[in-house]
Amino acid sequence: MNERLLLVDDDQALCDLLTDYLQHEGYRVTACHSAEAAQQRFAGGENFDLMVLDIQMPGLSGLELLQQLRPRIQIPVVMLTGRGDEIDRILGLEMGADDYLPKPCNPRELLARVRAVLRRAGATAPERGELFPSGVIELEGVRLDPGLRTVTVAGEPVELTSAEFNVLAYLMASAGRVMSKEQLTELVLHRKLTAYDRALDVHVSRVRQKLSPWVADPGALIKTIRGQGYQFVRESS
Amino acid sequence: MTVGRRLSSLKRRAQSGIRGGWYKRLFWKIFLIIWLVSAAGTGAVLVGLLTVTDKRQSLELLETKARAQAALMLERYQQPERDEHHEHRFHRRLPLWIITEDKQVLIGPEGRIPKGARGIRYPLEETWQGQALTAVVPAPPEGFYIKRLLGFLFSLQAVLVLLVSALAALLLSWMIVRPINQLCRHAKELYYHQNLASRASGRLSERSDEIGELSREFNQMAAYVERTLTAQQRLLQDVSHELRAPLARLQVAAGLAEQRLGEGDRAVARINHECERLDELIGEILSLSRLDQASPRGEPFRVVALCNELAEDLAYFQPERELVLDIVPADLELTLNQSLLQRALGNLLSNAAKYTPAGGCILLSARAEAPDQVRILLRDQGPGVDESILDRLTEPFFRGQSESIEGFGLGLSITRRAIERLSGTLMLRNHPDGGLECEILLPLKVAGLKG
Repeated sequence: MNERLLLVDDDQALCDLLTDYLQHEGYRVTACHSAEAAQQRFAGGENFDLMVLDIQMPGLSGLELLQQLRPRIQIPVVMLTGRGDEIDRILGLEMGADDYLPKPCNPRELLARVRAVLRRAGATAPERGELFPSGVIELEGVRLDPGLRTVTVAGEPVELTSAEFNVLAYLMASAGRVMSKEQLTELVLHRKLTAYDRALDVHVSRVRQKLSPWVADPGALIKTIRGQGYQFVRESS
Repeated sequence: MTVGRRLSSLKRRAQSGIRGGWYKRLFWKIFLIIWLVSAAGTGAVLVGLLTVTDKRQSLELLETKARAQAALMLERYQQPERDEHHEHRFHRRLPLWIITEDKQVLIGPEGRIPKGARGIRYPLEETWQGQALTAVVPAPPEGFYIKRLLGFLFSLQAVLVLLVSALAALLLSWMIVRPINQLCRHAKELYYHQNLASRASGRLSERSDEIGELSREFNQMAAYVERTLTAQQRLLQDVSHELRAPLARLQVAAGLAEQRLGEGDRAVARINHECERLDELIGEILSLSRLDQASPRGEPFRVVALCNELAEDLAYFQPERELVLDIVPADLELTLNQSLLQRALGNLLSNAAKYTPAGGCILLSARAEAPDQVRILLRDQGPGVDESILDRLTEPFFRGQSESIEGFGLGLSITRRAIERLSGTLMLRNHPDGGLECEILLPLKVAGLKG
């Protein structure tokens, strides 16, 4: 325990309250009131286990901060987005945020997301359970190595974020079978699927997009099964 | 926010505009009045003129005849061999009397001499025994001229008069009605199409007559309406936006209280619940006002993919209600702002799910009907809606008979606003076989339509 959290939000009063709340839950919390201040913390060599990042801030926005940090600093990020700002949400997830939460939100939900993301980041192979591939899998020309956490197609490496890698790993391990969105969300994002939750869909579509230079029709390789979930299609099956 | 009040009911009337037949139109009223009055006036003057000329001519003829006859009669009278028989030879042409100054009949037929206006008197040059003589003939009857009037009505002159006055009436009527119609179009644009920037054109408002004045006053009024509505919307948006920060703090503060009091505390649970409701409300108000800034354009997307997402959302919330899709053609593709349409359909769908009993299904069909029209129908299996409130369902904060069902009454307003943003129309009606049917018509170029 005692993970270090960085809270970046321009609302000082909210930061104070959240700091109290999260400290009560046993985290060490540092608050910054602008993206620039957070930048300085990182530049000063400070390390955090997770960042809670507000997207809408005066000056440098949360998205811009994220863009500057990645891929150099691979800190897990939970974004706070304005309700209904779907563009921000999708952009944030594509830029490597791990999860998002609309703001205002119930702090209990924020806590749940923080815990889930931390658990995921710190998880080791055995914790992932039997659905995670135990060894190298090679299917339809895609080679996935769970030990090295690398994916290669035709010898070329494919850059995937941690969430994207996990999505692909679970789908390939269960190739030929349909995995429900509920199950995948729990496995990959370590939380329950919620209403209008598109986080998983964004991750899947990013995986497809990143495979598209090598795979002719990634939508047919990783299939959307309406009302059920996703399936990694195996020709032979 | 209130722009949309009772619009849908008015909208239906907007198309017809004037109730009643063509004769109720100002254009034809003015035309008919001017035409008839001017035709009647011109005709009357013409008939009058013709009659006067005609009358004068016939009177002159009568005088000549009378004088000639009187001269002849006098000549015969003065002949020594005159007798009663001779007298009869010439008196029949005209009934004519020759009288002396003291009103004694010198020559003339039997019977009374016409008196006053009934007789015409001509003083004669001849004298008799030193007395001046006057010839008297009966005046011709008036009916003589009425015949001429009737004849005129069917003459070429009458046709000409009618034609010319019709032309004049058309021109006048058009001059009056045309600017009024233009102004009317601007007013409709403002009200029914919610184009708040609609103003009377420069040519109209620069006129120096009463219509110019009306146009300028209309422009003033339109500017006032635009200012008021924009300010109202901005106020609501700003207030909602400003409320979010304190709400976020309130929620965290409630969370802190929960940490101290324990998770099961009823007061904290209540605070959390109300916070969530407030958050939802603010979110809906903001998304309603944000719609006005959303661009209607977007990337092409497949309708079936959008509908599948909706179906998944429904399956998540309401697993016991099924969404039945019917998309023709199956690969129908639309090019517009997908999130606007998704918002509109999502709200319709969650509304439909509220009223459809468990185990029922909701029908969603999308059809490319013409090269430039897509019709989307969504029908639930609920009890339908009372006809009297159908029109008001899309008003913000209007909640029909279902106070008990959750929501703020903003969902359908959001739908309508989103559809209107896409230049489409939304119609709600009760399906003859039961249930509420929502019809969306989108004027679009359809890429996926073959043939």
